[in-house]
Amino acid sequence: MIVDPVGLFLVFLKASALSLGGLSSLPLLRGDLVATHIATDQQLVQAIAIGRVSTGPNGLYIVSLGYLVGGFAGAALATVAAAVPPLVIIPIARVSRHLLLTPPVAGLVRGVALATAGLLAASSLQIQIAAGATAWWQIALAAAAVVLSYRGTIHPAFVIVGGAAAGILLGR
Amino acid sequence: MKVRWNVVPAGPTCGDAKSGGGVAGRGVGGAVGAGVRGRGVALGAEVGFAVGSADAAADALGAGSVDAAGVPVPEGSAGGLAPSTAVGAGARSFDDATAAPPRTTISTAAETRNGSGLRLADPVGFALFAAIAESGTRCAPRHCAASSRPIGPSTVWIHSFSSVSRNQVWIAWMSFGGGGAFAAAPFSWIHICSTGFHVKTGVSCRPTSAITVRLTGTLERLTRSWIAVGTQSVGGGTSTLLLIRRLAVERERWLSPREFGELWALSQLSPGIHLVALAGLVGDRVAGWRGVAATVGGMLVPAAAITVAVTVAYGAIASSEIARAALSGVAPTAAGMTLATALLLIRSTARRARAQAALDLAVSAAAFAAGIAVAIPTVAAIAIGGLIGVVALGRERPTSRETPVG
Repeated sequence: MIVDPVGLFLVFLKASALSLGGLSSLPLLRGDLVATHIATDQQLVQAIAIGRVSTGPNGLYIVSLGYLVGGFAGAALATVAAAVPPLVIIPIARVSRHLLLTPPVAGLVRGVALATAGLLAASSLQIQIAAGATAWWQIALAAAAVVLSYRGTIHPAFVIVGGAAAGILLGR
Repeated sequence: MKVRWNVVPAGPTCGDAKSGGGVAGRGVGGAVGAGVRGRGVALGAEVGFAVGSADAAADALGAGSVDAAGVPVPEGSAGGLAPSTAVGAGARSFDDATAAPPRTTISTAAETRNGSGLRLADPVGFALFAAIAESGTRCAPRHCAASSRPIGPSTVWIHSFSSVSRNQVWIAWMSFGGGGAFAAAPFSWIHICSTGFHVKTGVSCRPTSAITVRLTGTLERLTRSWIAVGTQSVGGGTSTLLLIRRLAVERERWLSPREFGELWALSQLSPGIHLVALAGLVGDRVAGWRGVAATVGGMLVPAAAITVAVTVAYGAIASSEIARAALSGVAPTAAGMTLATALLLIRSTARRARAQAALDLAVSAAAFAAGIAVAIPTVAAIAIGGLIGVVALGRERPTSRETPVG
């Protein structure tokens, strides 16, 4: 699919700049890409899974998504878009480290984080439904993934691999 | 009394990391000759200084420099250097292959001498792979391969840091005026120390000891180690954070544990991927904007390439029956993990007190409902959340999240 590179870059940049933490750009990306039929929920799920299995921060799933949507150029644009917004903290921290520790800033970050978390939870359910993963074993798998990831005792890559194995066994 | 050393012409490279240990050994003499312009010995002087390092120098060091590596060797004969003979004494075996030391001008005015040591100007025109150290503080703002600390009227500690590094840092310092066992002035020493050693010297530091430390190859090491971080950590999150911590605090000692915690807390305030912000902050602390480029590029570019490669590989088998079956299991797993990420984000962000926790959870629940209903755009929901946060959620000290979601 041919996508306008500038527009794609701006979508990724916006998602990265308005999120707090790797995966939390998902609701924004889903709103901008899936709703406009540039990407599908299946692609989104693939990208998230690849981001978990691949190396580096799992926020790099947007690189995978960039490739799925726009080829190598899309991946490069997504990488830049992921790299730039976090760096604004460096000049800010240099200029006013103390300002960052004031209650309004703490409240802002907390409010954004909580709202993002709610949106992220909503997105995860919508992805599950939209990707057609609503068989009983798939719901059970999702529940198991929630518990395992929340407890954090098993490495995320193994959880993904376990999911793939369950899919091969049960999903034919 | 005016003291003037002529500057020995510099060779083609400035202590490049690749130039090898033997070069450093022979470069010792050149360092002293690199220029000292004194305005007045008693008042402190502007000291042109030269320090460099050589990579993997331990085995490459020639026998000729063994004495220099062991103990501080006063340059010239006992009693100090006669200014006019300094060039001749300093410039022995100085040829094209010799790594010419970089030159730095240091002010040794009283205020910079006191307390934390001497400040260095950032010299112009250094190679890309260069970062200058500010001497004096234990974990210096710019990464010190070694730093110095006056611990008494006649003692200075040279403390070199990069413990795993095979870099050899060479340090030049000078002392003007009397003190300790050394009576006459000025003195200069060149000391080559393996990194990871604490070197105690008997140098008088009272009138002044101008010490500068320079580690070339810092950016190269920085890039290399962050490529390792980017490619060795799978899945991000806590494992990556631990990897970074082990690198920055324990192995390279770029930061003290407390500083690392501070940077990590700052990174949690940044937009986007927090681990990228952490990498940038560490790089900035170690080597300025070049360090930022090295760490962020080193962490992201190879990792992104691997991610693309995995995506391409998946695309090649995506249409097969088995891949489709696997995806039918991976899709709910990924969705579930995303939900877990959201829950972890709430757990680490929400405050503990009952009323506050209820308020925080209400914000998340409202956002969740808005996300399901799709009545308002995502950006608006986030903005409203931030606004509510500024008004009502800032009543406690900033959270330090224990679970990174990056």
